[in-house]
Amino acid sequence: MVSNQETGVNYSIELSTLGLNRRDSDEVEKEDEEEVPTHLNTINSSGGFLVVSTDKLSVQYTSVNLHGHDVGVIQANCPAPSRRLVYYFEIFVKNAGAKGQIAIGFSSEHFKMRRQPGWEANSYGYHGDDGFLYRGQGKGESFGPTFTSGDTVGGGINYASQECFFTKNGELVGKLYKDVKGPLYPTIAVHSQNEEVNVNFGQKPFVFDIKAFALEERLKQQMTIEKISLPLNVSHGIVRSYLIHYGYQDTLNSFDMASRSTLPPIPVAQENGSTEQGDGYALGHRKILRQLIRSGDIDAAFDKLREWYPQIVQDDNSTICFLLHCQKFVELVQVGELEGAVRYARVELAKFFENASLVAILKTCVALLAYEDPSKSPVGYLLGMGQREVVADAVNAMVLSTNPEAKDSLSCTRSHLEKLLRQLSACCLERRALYGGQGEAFHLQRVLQNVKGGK
Amino acid sequence: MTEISGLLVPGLRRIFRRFQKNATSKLPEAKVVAGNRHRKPRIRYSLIWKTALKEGIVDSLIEFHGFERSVVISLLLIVVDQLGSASKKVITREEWEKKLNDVKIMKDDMNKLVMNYLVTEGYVEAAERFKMESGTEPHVDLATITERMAVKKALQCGNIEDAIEKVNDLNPEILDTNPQLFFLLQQQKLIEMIRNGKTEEALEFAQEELAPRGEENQSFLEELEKTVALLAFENASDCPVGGLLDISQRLKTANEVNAAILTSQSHEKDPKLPSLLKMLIWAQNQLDEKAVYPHINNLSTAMLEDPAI
Repeated sequence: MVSNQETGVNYSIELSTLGLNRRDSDEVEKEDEEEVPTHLNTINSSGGFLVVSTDKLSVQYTSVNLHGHDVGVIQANCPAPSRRLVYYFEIFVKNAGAKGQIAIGFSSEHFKMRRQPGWEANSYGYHGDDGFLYRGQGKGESFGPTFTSGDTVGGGINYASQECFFTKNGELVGKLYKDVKGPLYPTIAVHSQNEEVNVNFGQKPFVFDIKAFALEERLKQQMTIEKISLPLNVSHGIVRSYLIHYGYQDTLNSFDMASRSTLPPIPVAQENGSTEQGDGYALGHRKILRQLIRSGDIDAAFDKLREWYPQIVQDDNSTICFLLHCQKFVELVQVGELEGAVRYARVELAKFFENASLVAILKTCVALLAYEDPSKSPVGYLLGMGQREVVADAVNAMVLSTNPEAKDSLSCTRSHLEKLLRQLSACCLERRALYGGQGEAFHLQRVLQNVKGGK
Repeated sequence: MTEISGLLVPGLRRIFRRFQKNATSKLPEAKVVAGNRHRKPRIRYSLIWKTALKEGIVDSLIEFHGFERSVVISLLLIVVDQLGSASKKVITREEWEKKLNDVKIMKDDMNKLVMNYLVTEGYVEAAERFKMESGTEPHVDLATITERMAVKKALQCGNIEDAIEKVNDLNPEILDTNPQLFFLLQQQKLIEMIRNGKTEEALEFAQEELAPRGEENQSFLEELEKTVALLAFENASDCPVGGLLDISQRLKTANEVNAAILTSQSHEKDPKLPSLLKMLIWAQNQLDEKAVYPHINNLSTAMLEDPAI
């Protein structure tokens, strides 16, 4: 069938995302790095009404206020970072001045810098003189207590629930739905003589326990998730089909045996007979091929493939042959037969240099020759068991794709578990994208890393 | 059905987008229904499917794929309706599959997940084999699973004394630092005595071992009273507290002990896989609020299904 050829092509794309490029956890971390507010933006502030200290972390209202358009407003030097669960900052009211018209909140980039946050569209503000919350219009709503000299007030954004929240002296005052979707700047305002405020962007410990708040939010979400009920024994069935899919036959046998004797008896996955048979396609062969590749005996694996599935290896230019040849080369390097490796590369690998999609992998393999101690080189991972596993998985997938009952080749090369995890990741990524990239990124690895640590 | 709608959606989306654009720029082509001042202009969906008919989307389906005209048209109506339903983003199967392919899933991570399941659920031998076959490290001493499972089995069979001994062999701190758990085991021991008709022995045990603990803790006392009440009935399993004699009480005790042992080994007490499956259901529900896209509804087949029409 022609589809085999196609599978080969598909699979080579697949491989580039699988094991050949090793995971780079730094990359994952970097993705989430964002600029964090550290000081007040003195360029964009409402000149004349307030004075900013030299460290750019406190402001004072110096004139006498006359009307609603002489507010001393100042924003942070950059918007609140959004690729996280929560953002939070605090102000300390050093002096409530003549009228105590101090406000804390968030505003968008083009906020009118002479108005209180919350009075204009795309801004939110919690005001000290009346304790009201203002969100985008001149009229406020009762929200929390007033605040004055000696109080510490905080403003935060919870990206998971898309809410803003405010605190006073370490206690949560209240929250509101955040309808502004774009970036928001931490904003403070002073509006009567001698009002003085210090701002804390995290350079000092916060009065409010933001870590506990974040943890609680996380737990809340976890509780919601844990409450969802699953069909009986569904995990058992998924593990079982995983073992079948990858040809881990010994594991499968003891898994089935133990399942039978478990008290109370767990009915062994009640899938209907036909799918089970389909999934178990060529299980024995796949097990043997995996064992051969894992033991580094590529020649024997080739022989078996030629005997059992000649259609897979008949085209010596195919991706799967390339992978096996590469592995053979790696194995030769492994045992120190460098001359043999070079000879083998000239005969079997040279032709693949013309294949654009494979040349990168090939170059990495050949790079092994450049090092005196290849196992300690940057490409040393190729010599590990992990690489054998990758090749074994590729061969396994190819054998599965020869199953005449397989509906479509791509789908049968993935285990149920893999499909479920892909769907999970895609849903989380898509949802975050639809929220403008706000909130924590979903990383399967992070979820899994919690597996080991305990706690 | 799904095949037709899959073919219909891309073409219709193009038309839909065009209308949307026109609606906002107020071109005459789109007759916008002026709604509430604060709401976005709505588009009359009949215009979309009429355009779709005019532009031959339906005809090409009938011609090239041999579907029945009536089927295609009724589906067309449904799909248009769905495209317009709220402001949900519609993601076609093709687009979604591309997203699925872009996800990086490491084999190593899946192996770890499976190993975690085998270890936590106590499949010792399978975990050993899996280590051999896949090279995945279990990150716990597999021998301790064997012991943990032995404890579980003893509890399930009602050999409480045996179980307590085994737990103490594993790590005496487990019961020393957890009076609640120790009481639960003692209570189970009392239940087993009553079940076996050893009334005198049970009374003695209750008075000497359990009563002093009840004095320390109100909830222990209540549990003790409940348990001793079993003795007052001739047919204990039919009495109001008969539930204690149920097999589920044994399983409850066994699970508590199992969890405590796992915690003492700084291992999570539940396997990660079920949580991830729940997370998948949750994530799909969450995304439903914002988008229409292919789902996995049946976890055991992992089949990708087109959105319900």
